[in-house]
Amino acid sequence: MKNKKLFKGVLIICAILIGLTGCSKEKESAAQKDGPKILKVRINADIKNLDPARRYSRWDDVISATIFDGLVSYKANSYDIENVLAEKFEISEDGHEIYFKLREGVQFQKGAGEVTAEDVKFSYERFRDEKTASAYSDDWANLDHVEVISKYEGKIILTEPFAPLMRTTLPLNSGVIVPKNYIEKVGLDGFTTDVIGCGPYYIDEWQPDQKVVVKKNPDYYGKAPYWDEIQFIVISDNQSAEIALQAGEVDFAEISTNTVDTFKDNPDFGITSNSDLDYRWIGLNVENPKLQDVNVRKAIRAAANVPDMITAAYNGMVEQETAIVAPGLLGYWADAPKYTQDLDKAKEYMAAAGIDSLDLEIAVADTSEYRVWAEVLQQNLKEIGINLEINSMESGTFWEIGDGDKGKDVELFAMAFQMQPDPSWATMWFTSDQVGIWNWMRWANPEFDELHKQGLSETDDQKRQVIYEKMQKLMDDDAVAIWVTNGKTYFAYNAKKCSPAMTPNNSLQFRFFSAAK
Amino acid sequence: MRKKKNSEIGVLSQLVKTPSGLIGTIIIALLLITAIFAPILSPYDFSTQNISERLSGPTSEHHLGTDHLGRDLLSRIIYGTRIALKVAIPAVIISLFIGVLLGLIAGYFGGIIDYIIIIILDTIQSLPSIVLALVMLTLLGPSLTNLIVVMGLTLFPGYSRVVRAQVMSARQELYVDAEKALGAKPLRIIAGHILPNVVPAVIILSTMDLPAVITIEAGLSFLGMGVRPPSPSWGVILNDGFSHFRQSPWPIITAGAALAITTFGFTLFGESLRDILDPKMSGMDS
Repeated sequence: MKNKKLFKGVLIICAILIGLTGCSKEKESAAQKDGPKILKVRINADIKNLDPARRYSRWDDVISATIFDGLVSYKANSYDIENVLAEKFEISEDGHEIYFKLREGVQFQKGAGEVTAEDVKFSYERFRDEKTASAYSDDWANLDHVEVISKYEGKIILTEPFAPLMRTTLPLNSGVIVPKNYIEKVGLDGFTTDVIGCGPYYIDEWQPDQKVVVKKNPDYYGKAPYWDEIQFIVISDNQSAEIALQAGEVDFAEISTNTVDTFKDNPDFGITSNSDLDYRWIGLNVENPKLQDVNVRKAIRAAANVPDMITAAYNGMVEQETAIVAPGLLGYWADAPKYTQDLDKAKEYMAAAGIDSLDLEIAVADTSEYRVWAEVLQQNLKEIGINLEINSMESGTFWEIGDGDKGKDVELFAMAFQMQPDPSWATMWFTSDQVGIWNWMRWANPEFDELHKQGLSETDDQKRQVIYEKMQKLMDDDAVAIWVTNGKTYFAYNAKKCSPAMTPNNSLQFRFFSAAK
Repeated sequence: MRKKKNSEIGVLSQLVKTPSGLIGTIIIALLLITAIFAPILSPYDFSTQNISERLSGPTSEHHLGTDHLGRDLLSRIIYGTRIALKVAIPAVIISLFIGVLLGLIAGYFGGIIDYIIIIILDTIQSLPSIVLALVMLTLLGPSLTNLIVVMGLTLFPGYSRVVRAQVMSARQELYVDAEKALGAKPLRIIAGHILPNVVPAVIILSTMDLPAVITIEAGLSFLGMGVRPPSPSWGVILNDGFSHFRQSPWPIITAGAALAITTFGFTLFGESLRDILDPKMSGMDS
């Protein structure tokens, strides 16, 4: 009798336990379904500064674009412009004034107050303020001031019409609105990685060299983005990123041209690519005593075998670049010389320089792409008596070698710059103001500077075309760079989970990323 | 008890009698020959590129295939042997020198000197050697010389500990006391009586350290912190191969095999040597 009771008791307990575990399992799967939708993205370098005026790298750009909103912006997957913070947006006929009226009641994140015309004034004028030391001040080259009409209305007043304004300034990061009061309170140093905007995501967490997490802004005034949380995970090496993608540790990653076929053949993954507008090159520092003579630079350019670099580094899957502005853009120089290896000419230049041997060093960020360029160049230069040492360094170290006077010691370097669809975006980095900032060639040419200014205020496309061709010719004459390729970026993504969005030149628009289609 | 023959020829003949000793000796001999005669043995220059023939498998022209720049892999592996030994041997000699010196000082003098040296050794040993080497190379910049120095500096505590222990026990011996009573200076006692006693242990340890150093060198070069391109360190070949392994596995296979065989050879050699020179140490890991 006792035993029977005990047996019953055990049975009941068992039944309850089974019921409980069953329930909890159901709950778990329900939680997974309803839990936050998290997108994991590979970034190949850590962020440095998310302040729109002082942003640094491509990932600073891409991540801050999820946090900030501007008056206008590009629509998803296109270069068409739509109003975002602006309710009304009108450009005067002479192109000198832009009137805007803000949406009312839009709040900055983390309780930093309402977005007003004062914030607009502050956001744009700080680009021209020396205290901000913005590398992007030329995005607002012709800004005179912003006039505040009322709490929500204002006028952007230009000294002269400004051609890139609607192409690259306003729709991109130089056109976004930052909180005036907050920045005045915390100072510039308090507004680097812990930034506040009024966009669809706010920054939640930054673990240096690990990841950056942005979460959906619950008070966002516009259409809510699909993903609740985006984790940007730092994986500098392409191979590791590809493995992480295959293992499901990331959902979206840039991949190397060598592995495109592997992902293409796998139905679980989607591939997206576009010819880049970016430009990649080997720069020669003209201030360095060894490279001061233009003949030496021309010798190096004539000896370099760029087609070999393309075959070896990109499996031949990209085109050789001939000048700084990419094909298809206003300012593309169609008749630019396409350099192939000519050792006889290279030797003639060496003779003209009166040099028969030289020791040089090329600085590269440690990726297989740049190492391959450098190794090909090393072999090429050996044939004209130049011994090239390859100094490959961790990318963080690399990006600082050109800063200030330190940059005088740089000899050759391998580099890639991002480009936006206006030619001024290519030329602005090589003016004399940029020496010691981004002009690592330290090439200063007054005529180039002057043309750059003209190009900014000229609104006639044909005239601009002439200006930019001329500028590229100046660069070519002085042999300051060996152009390699505009490149082609390939991204692979988990096709069962997400669907990407980007402008036609591969600028990622994470706010428009959606579920798998 | 059988008297041990400690002359070099005696050791060698004993070594080749065991299968593992024989294999180890042969591998090391081959490695040395490869390294010394690299220019004669390699069919091509290790840095000559031939982009049109990149990433080919083994052919009659390139017996092990080519890498991503069309360079002959066989020649690169052969020259890689040179780099492996060029780094490993001096690095071990440096750590041997520093290690023995500090070990002797610590063991002989004891007291506060011993205490300070032990703290230094503990500090270095508490850090993983590859991480320590990475930090130092980041500060100094990657180059062959820096690599050698850094490896030497990260590995010496092992020697110091062994030597220190041996010295401490030797110091207790009666003949050392006798020598002291006769008025001998420390230097004479150390050089004449103590040092000869620690030599076998140190030789064994350094043979065991060589493959470790070779592996760490390859690891650092793999991470881009070792020798500069186009030097064909096995680590560099592995890294280049890693970027293209979906197109051709040969760079990884060949460099990996070279590394494995070398490590294997030195380990067999070191263990056999240990069994002969110092049976007490059997079963002790380096």
